[in-house]
Amino acid sequence: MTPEDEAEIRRRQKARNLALALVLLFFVVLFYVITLVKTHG
Amino acid sequence: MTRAAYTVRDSMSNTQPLQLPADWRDFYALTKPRVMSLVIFSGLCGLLAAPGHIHPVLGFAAILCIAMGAGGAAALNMWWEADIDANMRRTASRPLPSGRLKRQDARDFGIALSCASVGVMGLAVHWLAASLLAVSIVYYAVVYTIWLKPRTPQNIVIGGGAGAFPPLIGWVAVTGHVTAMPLLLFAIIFFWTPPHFWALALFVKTDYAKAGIPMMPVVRGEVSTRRQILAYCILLVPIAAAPWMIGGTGWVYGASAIVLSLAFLVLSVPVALRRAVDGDGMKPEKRLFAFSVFYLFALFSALVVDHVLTVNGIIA
Repeated sequence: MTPEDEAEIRRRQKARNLALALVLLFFVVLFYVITLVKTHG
Repeated sequence: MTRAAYTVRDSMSNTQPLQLPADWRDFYALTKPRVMSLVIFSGLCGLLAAPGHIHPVLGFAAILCIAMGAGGAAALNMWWEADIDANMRRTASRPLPSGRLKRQDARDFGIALSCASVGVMGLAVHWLAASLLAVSIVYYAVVYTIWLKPRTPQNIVIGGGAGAFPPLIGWVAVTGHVTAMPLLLFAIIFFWTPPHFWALALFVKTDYAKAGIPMMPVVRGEVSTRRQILAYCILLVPIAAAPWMIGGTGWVYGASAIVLSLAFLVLSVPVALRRAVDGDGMKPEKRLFAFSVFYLFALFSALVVDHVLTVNGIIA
């Protein structure tokens, strides 16, 4: 495996982790807001 | 160096493929974003045109779940059809046939997205909408993709039901029950799908034939397909107008439905009557396909506009 290959693998892993983190964060906020609406609305 | 094909040399100078981790964009591509835009739009129109009220946050959650369900079903479709997609020019560059994504990753992603969409819909909105969403996913991923598509030229006719669910689910998310109006919205997309898809199949039929998919033009021939396109366009006129005829909408929708459906019918006539010759460009078929997309957007937009005008007392 060349250093370029390794760098590309790390870049993709980082991008996927970031995307997953954003999706999870979005759902945390969504569930929080839905809970507020369901309990108060 | 391409994204898909990497090789690495080991100590014996043999080469073996190096599978890179899939890019997040490849997962996004699995959800068929262009198809999803139509799903989101029709689901949103069903939700906005329904009588009653839904909290905007719950309405947003309902549309998100419809989109996630459609994306999950699309991923399962691509997982199952990876071999077929590799044989068609239109689909050969998708993440699976091009080798950018592992097949089991696509399957797991599709299952996870589908289950999450149904679960969130049930918890946030209600379980009737969630059940309809589950049925629509199974309908597309199993009934259409696995069962009908490789077996019968009627695949599009019956499989069109899968694409017809979003406005029904959107409507039911608001009202909590199934009535004639959302079933008519379902019927409109159901009867719109064959002429929409067969118009496309007429000018990409060589690809479907190569992939062994029994599309109507391949199995029954062009003449039969063209006649059936016309038949469905004729049927679509009363079906599209039915929501107005049963008193479910105002005249703005009724007039729009009649004008748009007649235009669709008029464009289908040359497609039904002519015989394609080599190098003629298939313009009537391409025009009909393009109009079919506009037709659905315009018809459902008219439904929402009509509802807004009626609710605000601008029209009776």
